Formats: sequence, C-alpha cells, structure tokens
Amino acid sequence: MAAAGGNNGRPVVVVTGMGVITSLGAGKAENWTKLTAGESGIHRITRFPNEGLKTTIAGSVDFVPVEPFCSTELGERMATMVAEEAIGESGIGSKSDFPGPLFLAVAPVEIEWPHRDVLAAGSGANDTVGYGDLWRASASGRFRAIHERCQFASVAEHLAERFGTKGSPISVSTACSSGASAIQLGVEAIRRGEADAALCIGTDGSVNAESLIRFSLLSALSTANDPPQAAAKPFSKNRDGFVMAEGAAALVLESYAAATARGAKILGVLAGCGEMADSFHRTRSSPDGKAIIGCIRNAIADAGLTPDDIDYINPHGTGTPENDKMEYLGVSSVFGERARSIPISSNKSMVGHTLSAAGTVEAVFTLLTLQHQRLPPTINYKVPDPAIPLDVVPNTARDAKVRHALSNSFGFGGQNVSLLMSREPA
Amino acid sequence: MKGNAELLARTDMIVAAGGGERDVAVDAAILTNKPKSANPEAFLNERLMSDLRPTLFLAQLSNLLAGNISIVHGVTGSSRTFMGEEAAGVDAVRVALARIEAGQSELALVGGSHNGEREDLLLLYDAGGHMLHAPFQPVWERRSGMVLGSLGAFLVLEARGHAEARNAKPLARLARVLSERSARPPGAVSAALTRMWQTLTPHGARAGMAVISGATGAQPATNEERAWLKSLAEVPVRATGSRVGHGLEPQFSMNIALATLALGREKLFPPADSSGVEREYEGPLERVAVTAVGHWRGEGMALVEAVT
Repeated sequence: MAAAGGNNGRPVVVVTGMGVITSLGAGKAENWTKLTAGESGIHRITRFPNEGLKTTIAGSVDFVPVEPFCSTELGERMATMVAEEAIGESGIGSKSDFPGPLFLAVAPVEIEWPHRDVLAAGSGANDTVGYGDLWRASASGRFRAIHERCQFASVAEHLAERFGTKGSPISVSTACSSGASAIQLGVEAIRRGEADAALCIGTDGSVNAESLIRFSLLSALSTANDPPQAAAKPFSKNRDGFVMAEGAAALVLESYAAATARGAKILGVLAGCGEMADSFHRTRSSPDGKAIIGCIRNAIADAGLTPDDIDYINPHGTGTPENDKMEYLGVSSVFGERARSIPISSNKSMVGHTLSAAGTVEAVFTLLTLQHQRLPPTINYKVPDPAIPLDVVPNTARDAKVRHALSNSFGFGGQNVSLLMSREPA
Repeated sequence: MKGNAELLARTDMIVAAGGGERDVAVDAAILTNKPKSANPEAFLNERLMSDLRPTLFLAQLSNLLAGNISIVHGVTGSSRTFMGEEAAGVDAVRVALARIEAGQSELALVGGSHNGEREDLLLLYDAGGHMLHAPFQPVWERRSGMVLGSLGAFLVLEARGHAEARNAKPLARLARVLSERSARPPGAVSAALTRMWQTLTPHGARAGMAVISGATGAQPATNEERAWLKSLAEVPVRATGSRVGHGLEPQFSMNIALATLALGREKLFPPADSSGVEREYEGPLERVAVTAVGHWRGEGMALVEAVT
C-alpha cells in the first residue's frame, strides 16, 4: 500500500471519521443497524398540520427539538452533532481546533414563516400587512437575531467558530448533489496540498410547510401516504416520487500521509470524484443521459479505475419516475452488460431524500457498506420495473465482497456528482 | 468562447449566489389574512398550495443561476454554487484560481449577480442594523450603513498557456486571492487586512499600486478598513460601493473586473469621496489590490497585475 503519492502523484485522500443523523436515529451504529434491517424512518408529519396537503409524510428528524421550528436552526444543530461524532472518531486535532477547512453542504437559507410572523406582529399593523410593515419592524433594532440566522454564511460561521476549522468556510449548494460537492471540494483541497485535513458536512432540515408544498407542486413527491414506510419505492414500477427527509452527515478527510503519520484508523478512501453539468433543462436530465454518463465515467477515471472494478453502486435512486429511468440509462451505458449484475441499492427507500445532505449521508452509508462488507437493501421493492433490470438488493440486506463503490448524486439545475470510494488505498 | 461548444463543455463554473426572489404580494396577502383565519396553519397550507408558482420558487434555489448559465451558454465542465454573502464571492474566485494553479482546471467562469431592490432582503439587512437610510452619502462619508446595488459580474479565468494556445488576449494577471474569517473581535478586520496585504506585497513595494475596496459602509467593518487604509497613505483608494452600491456576493468579482479594466487603460478611475480617504491619482497603474470585507463576516483580498 505505497499510496502516499497515489494516482497522478497527488495525495491520496482517506476518511478517518464519520458521523450521521437521519430519521432512523443519531449516530452510525443506530443508522447501520436499522438500515441493514430494512427499517424505514418515514412517518406521518406532526410538525405542522397536514390539512390540504397531497403529501403528509416525511423522514423528518423530530428527535432534535427546535422550538419555534426553523429549518436553518435544525440544519445547524444536526451538523453540530454529526461533526462531533466524526471528529471524535477521527481523534484529529484538539477541542475547538480542527486542523483544516470546512466545506458545508447546506440548504439555501431563507427568511421563514415564523420570522415573517414575528416581524408582522412586531409591526403593530392591524388591518393589512405588507413588506413595508415588516421593514418598519425590522428597522427597530429588536430583530437583530433574524439577520444573523438568515445569513447564508451563518451555519458555516457557527460551525467554524465551534470546531475551530481553518480559513474561510465554504457553503456549497448544488441542490440535491450538494453533499457530494462538499466532499469533492474537500478532496480537491487536500490534493492541491492546501490542507492535510478537511471537515466535510452536509445537512438539511427542510421539512416545513412551504418547502414541502414547493416539491409537491412540482409533482416530485410520493403521495402514497399510507402506510408511510412503504412510500419510497426506488426502481419499482409503481414508484411515484421521492419522500422529503432530513438528516446530516460529516466526514473527516485526511491525506493518507497525514493520517498514517498520526496513527489514525483509516475507514475508507475517497478515490475519485466526477462531475458534469447538464445544459438540457432546469429539472430534467438530457434524454441521452450524456451528463450522467460523463459524470460517472469522470469519477471512475479520476480514481484510476475502470468500470469493471466497481463492485457496488449507491445510486441517487430517489424513486421519482424520471430519476430512476435516467439513472438506469446512465448506469447501463457506463457498465454495459455488467449493469445487471452490479448490486445497486437505494438508501432513500428507508431514509427518504435528505436533499442537500443526501450526498454526504449516502457517502457515509457507502463507506459503512465497504467497512462491513454488507449491502443495505432497497426496501419496498414489490413490483419490479421491467425497464430497469438491475440487482437492487431487493428488500433484504446481504453480504458481499466490495472493494470499490460508486455513489451518485444528481440535482436540479443540471447538477451531477459521482464519488468513488474504496476500502483500502490502491 | 461564446458558442464554442468544445471549450464551454470543459469550462468549470463557480457561482456565488444568494437566493431568488419571492412573490411579495402572496406573502403580504397571507400575512394579512392568516391571523384572521380560524386555523392559521391550515390557512397557510391552503394559500401556498394555490398561490406558489413553480417558475418562481425554482429560482429560490441558489444554484439555479448556475443552472441557467449551463442552459443558456452551454457551460458544463463543472458547476458549483457558493453561498454566504461577500465571503462566497471571494472564495469562488479563490477556489477557481487555486484549481487552475494546481492543474485541476484550465478554464473557469466565476462570478455572480445580485438584485439590490428586493424588499425581503432590504428588511433583512435592516434587521441587522446595516442599512443606510436617506440621504445618500459615499461609503467613506457615512457614519454607518450599506446602500445595496443591483449588479452582476463574471470573470473568465484561464491558465496562461491555455489562453495563449487559443490566441486569447490576457486582460490582466490574477496573481493571488486570499480569504479569512473570524468572529470579529475588535481589531480583527484591520489585522486580517494587514496580514493579507503583507502576503500580497511581501517587499512592501507600493509604486504603481492602487486599492479597489469593497467596503460596505456597515460598521464596525468599514471603520476598521478605513483605519487600515490610512497605513497605506500613498496608495490611492476607490470604494465601488459609493458609485454602484453594494452587491454582496458579486461585489468582489466586479471589483476584480474593474481593476482589470483600469489596468488595461493604465489609469485609475476618479475618486468619489470628500472625506480624504480617496484622492486624485493620475500616476502609473501596474497592480491593484481588491479588498472585500463582508458587512458581517468574511475578509478577502486579491492582487491583480497588468500583463507584461
């Protein structure tokens, strides 16, 4: 394992710490146990009333209380928890002194309805309320906390202050591939030699009424509300949309040289990153799959591997009719006949779609798959789609030999990122 | 590059962006009628289900600006959107440059745009106490406060060899981009600017040098930048916020673009200040330091040099 130089003479990037939260629970142990048991974290929404909604289920993280509810606040709290787990496992640095930069995938920050309600009440307007009234209230100096909370930089700023990461923290959004982009940015920084370590976090606490309604109006969400656990059906013929979910995950990335020098346990290798943007449509992939195919090929090539080396795929696998069809096109184009026999299982069948966090959450699950040599299943796979002939590890986990695994993340805005993770340095 | 599909397909894009606009009329109607409703939360669901427009709320995703650039111009090499006000604008340029210097990229499109006339944003910055209320004053003459501006700026960054190979004319050399953060105890902004300046000008040479400042007018940041600028007594200064307002994410890429234009003309544009910070300068122009001190967080600096 003379891997310090690695592919193209650049540093090899390894993982030395991981943390994760989903609707299944907090921490790697609980998530992995439930994930391999085929449990679902999807449930009826109780955070807000569901009157008038077509979709009434989500994988919300209700065990991290935020009152009054604020999506950005929940995202920050979950990010803090997973960062503590990951840094604790890696044993890197010292308290509040992480020796590298922060790359954070976070949902775009917005002024939320509770903020507007507070400003409206504070304005004293009694008949009609307009933005002029909110503005008058905001200028009173009584709502400074809303400014700080609603800065796009605020979550990363608070995390950087708490964990003592170095330099200017980067908050990245590539929609539903943000979590993978954060990891990619960390890998690139270490490969450039800018840092020996990076803290990469993805977090998303977006289950509020407006965000749910937006996806609902795009017809992106499953409306199979009953029972909630059966709604997410990736790759099934009767799949009818994704299930919105919350979660967070963190990875401590280090150069192989730095990790071995301090005797750190290596949990896996970030062997390759691939990317290709799609210029076809804001929410749909080019029908020829060009960007998805290019993205997967770029990740495999970046790792110095070939398609034959890939033993497992952790797909984007949202369970929307469009995504799963296009992802099959991409996978079958890259892997040819082998596509039918490479196991490919969607974590989203159990934890839902954690949006900005998904790429990071699924990278942690892919690394756990490599570590345990066990494939989590795609649950709710009752009606196979003959147009998608893949081994989706249906309904039950199984053991397998996995050296190299691919994780795909695709997002609105033509975003496509694939990560290639390996069990050991090449 | 325009229309050159081969080049655009391997162009790496980093956009610095906030969120898109809201339908303020829908918001106002909900705020007016929700408290009068028997079941306010059900009323919110009902109004949002019927009044939100998918075309508008897709634009609220920060990365849809980049997505639209991919669609309109065919830029598809890679696409990343950095969020986080002024610092996002600095880091977008810093990372794009670092990738080129390290051979991870040869050609990049980096920048952003900002709409300064959004009521929802104006009230947010006012909540933080950061807005200038009438009358208008240039940045250095204000006691405190920002004036937002609507602006957009993108830069094409290219490895010199790559540019020369395709006979593209280099407009300027982006020598270095630095960024820092702190929780801003008193003096932290001045200290950060001093550190970055010393890194950019290790030999202290100031001849032919100017500063284009992204000072916002928000305090205490702008007072600290003003104090630091005093230590560079002979270096001419221009704050673009006095002329076009403050555009948050894209202010830094705009100021690098203005530095590039000034270097190309070998002439700095005129001052817009009577407080003594900015003064007339007709001398030679060889290098420009561009500063970015965020209204709340984030400090950055770039060095742009004339191509020789």
